[in-house]
Amino acid sequence: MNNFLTQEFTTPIISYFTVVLLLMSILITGSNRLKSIVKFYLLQSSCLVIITLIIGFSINNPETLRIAIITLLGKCIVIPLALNFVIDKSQANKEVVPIISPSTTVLIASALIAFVYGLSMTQNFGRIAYYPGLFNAAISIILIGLLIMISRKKALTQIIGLYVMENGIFALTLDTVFGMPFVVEMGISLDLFIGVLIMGVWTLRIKQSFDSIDVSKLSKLKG
Amino acid sequence: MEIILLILIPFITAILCLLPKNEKQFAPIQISGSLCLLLVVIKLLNNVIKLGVIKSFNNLVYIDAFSGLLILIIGTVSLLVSLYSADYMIKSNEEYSFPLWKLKKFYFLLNIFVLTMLTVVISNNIGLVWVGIEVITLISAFLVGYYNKSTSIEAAWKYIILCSVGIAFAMIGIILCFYAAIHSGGVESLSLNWDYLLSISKKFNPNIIKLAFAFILIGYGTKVGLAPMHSWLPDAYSEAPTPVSALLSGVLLKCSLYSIIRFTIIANESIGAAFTNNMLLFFGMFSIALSVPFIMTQNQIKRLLAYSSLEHIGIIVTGLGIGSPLSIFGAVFHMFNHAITKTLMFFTAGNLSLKFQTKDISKIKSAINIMPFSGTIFLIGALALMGSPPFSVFLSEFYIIRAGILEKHWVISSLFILFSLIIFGAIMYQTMNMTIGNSTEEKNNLREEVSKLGVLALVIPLFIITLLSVWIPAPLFKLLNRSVEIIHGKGIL
Amino acid sequence: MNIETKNIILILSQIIGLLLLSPMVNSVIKKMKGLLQGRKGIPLFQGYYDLTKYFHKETVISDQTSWIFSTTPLIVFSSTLTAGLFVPMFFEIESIGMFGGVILFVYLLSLGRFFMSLAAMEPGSGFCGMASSREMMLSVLIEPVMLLSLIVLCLLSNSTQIPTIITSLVKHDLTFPSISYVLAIFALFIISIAEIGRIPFDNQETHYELTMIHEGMLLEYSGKLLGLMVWANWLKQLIIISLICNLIFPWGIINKFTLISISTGLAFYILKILIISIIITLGETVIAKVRLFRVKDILVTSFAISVLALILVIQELGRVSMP
Repeated sequence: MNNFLTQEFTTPIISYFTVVLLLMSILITGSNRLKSIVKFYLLQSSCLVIITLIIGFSINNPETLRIAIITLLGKCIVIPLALNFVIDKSQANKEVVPIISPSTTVLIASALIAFVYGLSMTQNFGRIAYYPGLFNAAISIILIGLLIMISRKKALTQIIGLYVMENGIFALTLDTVFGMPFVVEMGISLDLFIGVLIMGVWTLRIKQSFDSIDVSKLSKLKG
Repeated sequence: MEIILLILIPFITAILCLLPKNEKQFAPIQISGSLCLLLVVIKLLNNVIKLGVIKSFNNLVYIDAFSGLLILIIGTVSLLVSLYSADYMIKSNEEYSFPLWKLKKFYFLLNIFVLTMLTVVISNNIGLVWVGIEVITLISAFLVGYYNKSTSIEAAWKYIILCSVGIAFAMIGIILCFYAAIHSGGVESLSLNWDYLLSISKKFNPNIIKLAFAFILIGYGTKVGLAPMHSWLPDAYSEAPTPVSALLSGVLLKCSLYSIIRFTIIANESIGAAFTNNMLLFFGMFSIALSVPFIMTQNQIKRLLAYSSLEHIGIIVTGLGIGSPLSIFGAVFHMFNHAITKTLMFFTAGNLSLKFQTKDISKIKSAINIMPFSGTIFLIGALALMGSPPFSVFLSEFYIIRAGILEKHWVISSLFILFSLIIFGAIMYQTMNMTIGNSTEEKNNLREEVSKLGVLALVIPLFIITLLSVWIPAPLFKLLNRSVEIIHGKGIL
Repeated sequence: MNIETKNIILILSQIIGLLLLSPMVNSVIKKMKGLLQGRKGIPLFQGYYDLTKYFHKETVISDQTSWIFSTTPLIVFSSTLTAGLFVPMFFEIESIGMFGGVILFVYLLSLGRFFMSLAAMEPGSGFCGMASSREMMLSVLIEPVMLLSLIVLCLLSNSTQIPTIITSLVKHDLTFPSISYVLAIFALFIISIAEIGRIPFDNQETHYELTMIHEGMLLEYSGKLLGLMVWANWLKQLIIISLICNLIFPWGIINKFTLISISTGLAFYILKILIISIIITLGETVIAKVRLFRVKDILVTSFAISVLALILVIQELGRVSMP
């Protein structure tokens, strides 16, 4: 089949969406309203779906649509809905005193991005990927996800950090191997959906017994 | 057939455990379920020893001697746990005055937990293994937080978050491995299958495999509880109900370790053993070293056992890292021994802390006088756990040290002996304080102390570890030797 | 006509154009805002009326102040006007941009800001001091972002001259504008809103001293000096808007002077300014002013965006230069 989606044509488009991915993770680190964090997460995931479609069709992968639909269902519908539900239930819309303030976190995040891109220029490890820019972005997003997890106190923000990291890993998968075999892909997605629900349950339990979803209060067990 | 039964029995038991009308009815269901499971396991192992490798279900299932060993551990420990929880869970449910549905939930999750562990070890696909381990984390978090106290919620939260992050890292490793496979000409739909990966591993790009191994070791290492990533481990072990602690420490650790070892085999085949051995040695020795100060200063009985698990994980990983057939034999043997011994220790510790209403070591005094049965076995179990003869842990640790000396790992071996000695002293000191001494409290009679099933749950593992120290039954030896062959390429014979 | 005279004429027309157009632009924005809010809005020539009023009033200067207070309006006015020469309205001026380029442009604006906040502290009024400390806090964040995003554009076009940047943007393939260009413009846009003191960073129409930033610094001025300060602020607004609109729509900068080209250029320029003004007005109507502490977060985010643009442009250029 003559594919009109050549590398020359898709590279700029992918680079646009890559930057949106990065921007969303920066915005997540810079925001302290949980609802808007979930919105940014939603946007990031939608971007991933679009990237999935573009890469998939450009390399003629037969499983493209299936992967895109699973991702759309999970990352854009189930996970944001579950997170919003937990936010409503636990009545915590704001991260009042994070461990590291949002603006500092944003600065650290941009330093991380600079680090990864700088490293990629000297080491050129992006050569194993279809799109080196997306590869770098994926690694940066994984690191930023970790940063979100350690810089915030709320249980919910930690979950979101974990899922941002997971988005990074997903982008990495897209860019290196595109998709896993069917069973594995289904398993992983199912896992993520169950994961968000179960972590939501635990967040509500924390809310119940500590009267807030602040994980810095979880400090009784030591030694 | 056995494979279907292997999956079906825990599942049916889980469903049946939702039915009982009063708390006495759980024990028969659960015990008969796990007895059936153990029988099926033995039948299956018989086949494995006869056939070598069982593949079925369109290559999704792959059982060789090494997975067989893990299945054996799971089967044995889950039977012990069923025997023990019959009595213990009723008592602790009374203590917290939980309603009946809590018990239903406990048994249901317990069986699903066993089920997922079984699927992890029989799965051929490293992607599915990943999924299984993540599911185990999510399920066992509910078991860890079973008591719903603030401390157990804290433990469960730490457990779920840290392990999820770790497992996410392991995912990166799997992606890299998959990448390496399909870029060296592998068929895409097979390239996550363990046997297929092994067969084409010579062609992999060594740098990518190194990176993948590092990610998988760190990732699953978090789940195993290797040293720098272990911080969830003592919390989860100490806050979970005792049967669950035994399962976590005895079996779950080994399942996660199993996934690391499976990948180590691929990496060894592809880049040679030096790189993986060094990393395993580092993490193993670091785990042993880090457990020392925490064991010495510990004041909670279950946390003490948790840190001892950290030490034993270190021992197993070190044994794998030394990398000679003898040390690997020691390591896999130790996997079995530790599972049984640690289960025994958790059971007795659970009895003690239930009786004294505390987990605080300084408040448990003169256990031998107050609880003659559990107290004595606790003391004996501690000796066994520390590796004194005539118990099987002694044998496996001895193999590892001997292999270390034969392989001229002088520093590692001497540090190993040193740390073991210190830990021996520390745990003996703590145990003596708990068990021996005078007490004003009156003596219990045996009948009140433990039920018949409870006695069985303590006597069987004690019997097993004593027996194994003098005589390893031929089928088990075959299983161990085959496992060594699988991991190292050649066995000890 | 030799080149010298031509340049002088161009510079003079740029100065006159800026001076004349700036009150108008401000009034247009206010008028549109009024219309959007369902009011009649101010007359379009209100800016000129205001300036006439200020220049006819008596100037009162506190006897507690030094020379800085009375000279600051002149410094601010002249530095802003000079900065205005670096940004083309709709025609290119070659000679004045020979030195400095964007760096001088950014720091001429900061020079004015520096003197303004210094002068605001002179009369010792509490509100003025507070406003000037806030202005400084903002400028700490504004300056690097503005410089970084302009430098990204410089790197893209290999020049520090704003007219050259704009013309080279036209030459670029515009079917896919480079992503770093988009990011830089985005950051520059956010920071420009902060620079000209508009919602969500500052509210120019507030009558509540506690929330004032820019207005707060002018509280002690009166008469002609106030007129100069207000005019300088309008000038700055026009300059920034011209910069933004010429970077976003880089077409229609003329360098041949016929009657037709001048009139089309002018018409195009007015259209561009109108578009930007409408965007600003819409923003002001829809968005509420954020608290001062959140301002920091927004500006830091735009800083991160400009850093991202810089990283991407360096990588892009690096890839081109590497064999």
